[in-house]
Amino acid sequence: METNENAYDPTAALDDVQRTRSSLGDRAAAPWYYYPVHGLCTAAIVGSTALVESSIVRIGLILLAAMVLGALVAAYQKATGLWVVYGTSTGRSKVIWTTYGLFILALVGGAFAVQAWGPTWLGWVLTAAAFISSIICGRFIEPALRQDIADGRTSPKAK
Amino acid sequence: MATSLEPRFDEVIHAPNRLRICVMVSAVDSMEFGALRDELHVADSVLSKQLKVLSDAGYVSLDKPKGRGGKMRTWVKITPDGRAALGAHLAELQRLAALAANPSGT
Repeated sequence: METNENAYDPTAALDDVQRTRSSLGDRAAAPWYYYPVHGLCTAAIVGSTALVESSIVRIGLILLAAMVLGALVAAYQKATGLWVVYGTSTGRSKVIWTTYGLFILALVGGAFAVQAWGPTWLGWVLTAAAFISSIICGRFIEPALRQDIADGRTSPKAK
Repeated sequence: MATSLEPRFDEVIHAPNRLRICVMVSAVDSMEFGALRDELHVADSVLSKQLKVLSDAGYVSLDKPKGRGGKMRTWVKITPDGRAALGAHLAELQRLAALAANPSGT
């Protein structure tokens, strides 16, 4: 199968590298339901933290959301055959993912504040923000990740 | 162990399918056997043979966690040595391509 190794000149090999990266980027597309379900899970975590009085119910909802998130990641892996780690990217996808992560952390912090002192309506606002931000994140991170893979920006540097 | 990105031609990596495999697994944390096979458009046996060469060279590692119902899925991951060798090989390809485009070096 590798009979043409000697004819595989550097320019052709580099072209192949570029084509391979572009094709891999297309494969990294998440299933259509990924970000909506992700959004529902983060909304459940933020909402239960802010709005649910009972500690047992709150912890139960958070655990359920975490389990669904785990199943969602497994479904992504099964559908794409890839395990992507944003931390290794040096491109825009890492910036988007980090910004999203910090925003969700801020929402969870806000949810604790609402649970302690805040008005209920603010808890609903934070919950909606968690859902919407997941959808928006998905909208931007998909093309960014594709581009980062195509540009070779998801490959960690050689040690 | 390769420790830098100094250009170095690597016979193990240079074969077309092995180069593509290394490029793909270096771009992600790990990649499933079936996904690699589909991207390369080759038979399972061909991919297995290429992975064995890369694995024997210490450039990739194979992980076979049991899935639901005991179904085995093989995940391929590039090793630090493989990553370093790929980086050095790509640097050498770029050097050779530049040389071919401008043989006089001016």
